[in-house]
Amino acid sequence: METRQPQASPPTDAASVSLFLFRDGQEAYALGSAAVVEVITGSTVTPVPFTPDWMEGVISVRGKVLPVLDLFRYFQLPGDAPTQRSRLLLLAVEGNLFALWSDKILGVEDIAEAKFEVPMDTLTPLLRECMLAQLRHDDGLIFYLDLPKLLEKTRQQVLKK
Amino acid sequence: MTSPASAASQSPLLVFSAGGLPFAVEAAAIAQVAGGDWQPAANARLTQSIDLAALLGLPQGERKRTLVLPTPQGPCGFQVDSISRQEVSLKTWLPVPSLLADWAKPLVVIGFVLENEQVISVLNLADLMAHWADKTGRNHS
Repeated sequence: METRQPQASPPTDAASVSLFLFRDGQEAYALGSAAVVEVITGSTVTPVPFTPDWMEGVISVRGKVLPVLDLFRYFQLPGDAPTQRSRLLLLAVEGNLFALWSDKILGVEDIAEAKFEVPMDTLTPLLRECMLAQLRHDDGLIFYLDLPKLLEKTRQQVLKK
Repeated sequence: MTSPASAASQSPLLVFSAGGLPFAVEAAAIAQVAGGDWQPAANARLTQSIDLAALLGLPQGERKRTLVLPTPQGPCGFQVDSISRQEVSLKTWLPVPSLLADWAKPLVVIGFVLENEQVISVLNLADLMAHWADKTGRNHS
């Protein structure tokens, strides 16, 4: 199990933001590094009845049950579903603990805000709505996710149904 | 719906499998554990027992046992694959995360227990029956 200490304050200076970068299948994502509590491996995900297909199930981590959200399914991304997922990112967002799959951790980097770009029009609408920005990086285009917005959108989707 | 806290005071649980997945229910909520071919009496308002795996959208299992739930309209059966009786201590009960409660519609899970690191959903069969009644257009009010 890989354990990270959450950082109290993501920005290291006024013009940059500390981001946790990871890959899930063909897509690369960035999260505010303060949201990432821990990275774990080897958890068994148990499905839960009557949840959307993007809610893969739950895992148990030290006496807590955490739901696992599948970004590929949630954003309805094109192409084949990721098959090499090996790590779960445990996230804390507005008092909620949940997990996202990753097949590769790219690291934590301080990214200058000047590198943030407006998300491309060609991205799926839901992905665009849940992004703060896109970044061009050595690992390709990276989607910087707005996690509170992501959770808000998931709740709205379930209520609509 | 039973809260996790009150459910925790009502051990033991019946742990069973349906559609290849393990689940649990409060034993106190079950009137009878019968065979897979159990059927309600002919004059009951419910005319068939419910395949739990099918209701949950899971692959069909062996349906060798039936959990019989008492209801005001008479007994209602849930067909499951196999059953094991198990005592669960209070400390092993884990509450439903609020985020999961937001995502699950209907929410038929009242908590979780752990068995060999496997998370097992504790189901509220009364809520499941209400969902089945809504889905099939049967009035249970």
